[in-house]
Amino acid sequence: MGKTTPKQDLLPGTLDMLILKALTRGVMHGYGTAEHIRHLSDDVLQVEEGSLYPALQRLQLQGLIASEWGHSVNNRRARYYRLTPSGRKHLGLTESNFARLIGAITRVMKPAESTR
Amino acid sequence: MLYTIRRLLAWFCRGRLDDELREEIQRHLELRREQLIAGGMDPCEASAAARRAFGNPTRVREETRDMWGIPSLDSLMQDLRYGTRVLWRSPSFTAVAVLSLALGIGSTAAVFSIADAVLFRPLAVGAPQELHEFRATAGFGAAVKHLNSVSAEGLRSMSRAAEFAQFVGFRTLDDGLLGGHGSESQAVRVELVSDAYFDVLGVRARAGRLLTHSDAGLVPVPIVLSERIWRSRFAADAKIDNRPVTLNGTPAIVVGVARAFRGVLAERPADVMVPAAAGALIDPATASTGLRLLVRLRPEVASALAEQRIATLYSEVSPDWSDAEIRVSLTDASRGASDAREPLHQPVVIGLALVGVLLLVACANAGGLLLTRFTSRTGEFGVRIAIGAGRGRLMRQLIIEALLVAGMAAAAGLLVAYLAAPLLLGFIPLGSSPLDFELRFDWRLAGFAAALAAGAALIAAGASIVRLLQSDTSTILTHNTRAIVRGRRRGTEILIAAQVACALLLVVAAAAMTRTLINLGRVDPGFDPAGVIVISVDASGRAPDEASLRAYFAQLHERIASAPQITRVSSTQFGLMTTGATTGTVEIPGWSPVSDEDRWVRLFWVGPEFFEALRMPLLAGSSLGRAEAAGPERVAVVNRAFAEFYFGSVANAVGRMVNRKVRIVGVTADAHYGTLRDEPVRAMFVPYTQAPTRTVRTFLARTTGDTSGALRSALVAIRAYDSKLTMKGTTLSDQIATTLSRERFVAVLASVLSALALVLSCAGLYAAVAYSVAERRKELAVRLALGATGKDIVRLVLRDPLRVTLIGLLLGIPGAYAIMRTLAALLFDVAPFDIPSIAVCGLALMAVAAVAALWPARRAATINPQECLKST
Repeated sequence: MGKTTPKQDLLPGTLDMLILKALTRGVMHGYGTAEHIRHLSDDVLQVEEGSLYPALQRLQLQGLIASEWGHSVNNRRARYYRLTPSGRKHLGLTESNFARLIGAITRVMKPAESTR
Repeated sequence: MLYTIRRLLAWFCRGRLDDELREEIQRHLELRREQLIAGGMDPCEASAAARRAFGNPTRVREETRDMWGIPSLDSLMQDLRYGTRVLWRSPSFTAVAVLSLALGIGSTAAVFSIADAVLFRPLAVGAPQELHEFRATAGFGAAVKHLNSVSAEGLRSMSRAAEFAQFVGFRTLDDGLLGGHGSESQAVRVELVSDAYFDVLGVRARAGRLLTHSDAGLVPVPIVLSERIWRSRFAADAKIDNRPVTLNGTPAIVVGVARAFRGVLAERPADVMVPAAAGALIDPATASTGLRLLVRLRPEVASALAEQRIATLYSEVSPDWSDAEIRVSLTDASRGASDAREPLHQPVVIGLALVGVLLLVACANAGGLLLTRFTSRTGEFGVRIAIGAGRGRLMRQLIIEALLVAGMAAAAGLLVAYLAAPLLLGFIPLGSSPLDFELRFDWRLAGFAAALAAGAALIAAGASIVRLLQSDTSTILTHNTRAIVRGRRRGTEILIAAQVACALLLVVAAAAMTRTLINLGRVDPGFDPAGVIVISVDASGRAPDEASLRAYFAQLHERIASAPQITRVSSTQFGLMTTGATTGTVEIPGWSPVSDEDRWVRLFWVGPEFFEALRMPLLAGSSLGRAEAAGPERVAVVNRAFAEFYFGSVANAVGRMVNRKVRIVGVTADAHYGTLRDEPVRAMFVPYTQAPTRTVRTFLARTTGDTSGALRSALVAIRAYDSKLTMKGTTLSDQIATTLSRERFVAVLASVLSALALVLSCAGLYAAVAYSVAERRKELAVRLALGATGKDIVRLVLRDPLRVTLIGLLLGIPGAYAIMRTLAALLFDVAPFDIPSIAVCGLALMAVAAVAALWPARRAATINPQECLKST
C-alpha cells in the first residue's frame, strides 16, 4: 500500500496549474507541454517528465482538459491535449488564488520592505 | 459525481487506456532522445538521459492506473481472489463456519418470511393503505352478534349509495377443483369476488384481462387465475385468455391472470378468482352465505364518520337485523383481510426476537472460528506487514473473507428457510379454517438474507480485527507465539461466553413455553372433551320461519343421534372452545348491582342433555332434561361462579328466580368455555325450547370408538338429509388444541432454536478446547513427564472453559429476564422470573458444556510425553 508522491521541485499542486496554463497556448502533446514549461521557466522548473502523465490523466478525468489522437508533423501518432471551457474557468480560479498566495508569502518574507 | 462516473467508465476500458498510455510514454521518450541527439549527444547516452529525465515509466503507469475506476476496486478484486483461495485451501474450516452462519441466517430468514407474510407485506393492489376491513356487530339489548358479511344484492345497493367509499366483496372457498385443461384436475382455492372487485382494488393484469361488472352471470363462468397457478399449471402461457376449463365440474373460461395478486384474504390466498354470481354454480352448498367486505376509503374521509355512515347503509340492506343496533368497525386492511393476523402478531414478534438471539450465537460461533484461523495465520500477516501492507488492508482482507463465508452461508440459509418456513407455519393452525399464508421466497427475502450476512460478517470478523489492532507490529512480525496465544484466548473466551449467554436465553424461553403447554394440558376444562365431535351448521335460508327452523334443527338432531357410534347429542350456539359467545344481563330480585358489569353473564342456549353429553358435573338441583325444557315454566341451570356471585353459595341458588320469570333448577360446576386460560365466568344455560332460534348452531355429540370415523358418518347423515347445508366438523379435542396454537408455535420455535444454540455453542467450546490442547501439547507433555496424572491434566484443561461457561451463564441472566418479560403474556402458571427454573436451565447447559469440553480434555490426558517431546 502507500502512495508515493511524484518527486518534483515544485510547490505542491502547482503542476496542474502549469499544465493548464501551457495548454492555453493551444493544442499540444505531453512532450510539448513538458518542453513548454521548461523553456518558459528558463530551465528553473525541473519537472520530472514522467509525473506529467498522471497529472494529465487526472485533469482529463476531472474534465478540465480533453484529448484525442492525432499525427505529429513527421506523421507519428501522438495524443494531443486541449483545454476545455471548464478547464479555462478552473485555471482562472487557481491563478488568482495562487497570485494571492504568492503575494502573501512575499509580504511575510520581506517585512522590512513593506514598512519602509 | 461526473468525476466518479468518468473514473468508472475508465475502469471498464482500462486495458485500452493502459496501452495508449504506454504508447504515449514511448513517444515521449523517442522525442526527447531525438532532441538530445540533435543537440549533439551520443545516441546510446541519449536513450539513458531521456529515461533519466522521465523517471520510472512503470511507476507512472501504476499511478495513472490507480485513477481508473474506484480507487480500490482493483485491490479489492485482488483481496477477493486471495480470500477465495484462502478459504478454498482449508475446506473443513470453511464448511463449519458456513454451516454455522447458514443455520443462523436460515432460521432468521425463515421466521422473517413468516413475519413478512403475516405482518408486513402489503397487498399487490393500488394504494393498499386506503383499504379497511369491515366488521359489524348487531346488538339486541344485552346480546351481541358479530356480522361480517352482506349479500351480493346488499353490497350493490351499498355501493350505489356510498359516494365516500368503495366496497369490495369476497368469499373464499377452500375446496375448488380446476379441471379440463389437458392434465388432471387440481385442488384450488377459489375467491368469489364482487362486481367491481378488480377495479376498486386496482389490481393489474399479467395476461389477458381481469373481471368487470359485465362478467357477472355469464356462462361459461369467466375466471381469473393467480400468477402462481398460471405458472405451475399453464406454463405461463401468454395466450391464456379464452381457455376453456372447468371449476368443480362447471364450465368456465379463463379471461386473464392477476399480477402478483392472490385475493384479499391473507391467510387463505386464492388461486382462482370468480364472479360472486357464479358461487351458486360452483358451490351450491354455500350459495346463500354472504360476502365479506373490504372498504376503500378516500384518504380525506375520517374513519369514525365512515363507520357511522356505513352502519346506516348496512342496516338498510340487512332486514334481519332491523331491530338491532348496528355498529361497524373499520380496521386497516392494507395487508389484506385477516382473522389470524391479530392473534399471531405477538407470537411472530417473539419468534423474530428469539431467532435474532440464535443469529447472535451463530455470529459469535463463526467469529470464534475466524479468530482461531487468524491466529494460525499470523505468519502470513507478518509477511504482508513486512512488505508494506497497512493495517487497513489487512482489516479489509479479514472482512472480505468473513463476507465470503457469510455470502455462502446466506445462500445456504435461504435454502434452509425455504425448507423450514412452511414446516414452522404448519405449527400454527388457528380456528378450523386452514392457515395458509403465502410465503414468498423473492428478492425481498434474498435482500434481507444478504443484509443479515453482511452484518453477521462484520460481527464475526470483529474479534479478529480487534486482535489485529491490539497486537503491535513486532508481535506479528516476530510471530511472538506466547503474546498471540494469550490474546486469542481472551477473544475466544469472550465469544464463548456470549454464545453461552445467548443459549441460556433460548433454553430458558423454551423451558418456560414447554412448561406452559404442559400446565395448560393439565388444566381440567370442566367437561370431558375426549370423543366429542363438533358439527357447526349455518342454516341461513334453509327454513322460511322460526317454527320450521326449529323443526329443521330437531331433524338434524335426530339424524346425528341415529348415526353409528353416537351415544348422546346436544347443541348450543357456538359450541365450546371457540371465540363465538353470547352474553346477556340478569336481574336478581333482592340484589343490586354495584356496576353495570355485575349484571353481565355468559348465556348458553342448549339442546337436551347438554350436561350429560359433555359430562359437566351437576353440583345441585336437576339438569335440563326434556321434561324440564318442555314444561310451562321457564327454567335455567347456572354455574358455580354464577351461584356464588349472586346467591352466596351453590345450595342457595337452586329454586331462585332470575329475570323475574326464569327459575334456576340446578347448578353445574365451572368450566372453561372459551380457552383453557379463562377465569371462571358466570354462565347461565337456558333450553332452546325457551330461547330464540338463530340460524347458527353447533351440535356436540359424544361418540364411542374411532372419533374421526364417527365424525365422518355424522356428516354423511346430515348430508343425506340436506345436501346444501353449510357445515363444518371437527372434534372438541382438536378445538382445544387449536386454542393453544400460539403457545405451541412459540414453544416449538424456542425448542428448535435452543437446540441449535446448544449445538453451536458446544461445538464452539469443543473447538476452542481442542485447539488450546493442540497449542499446549508440549506444555502438557512436560507436566506429564514431571509426574502430573491424567486427572490433573483434565482438571487443568477443563478449568478455563468451565469458568468461561459460568461467566456466560451469569451474563445470560439479565437476558433471560428480558425474554421472560416478552413471553409473559403467553406463559401459563409459569412465573415470569423464576430463579429455580433458570438455575435448572443453567445447570443443564453447564453439564452439556462440560461434556463438550471433556472430550478433547480426555485426549489431552492421553498424550505420550516421550513421543511428544522427542518429536521436537
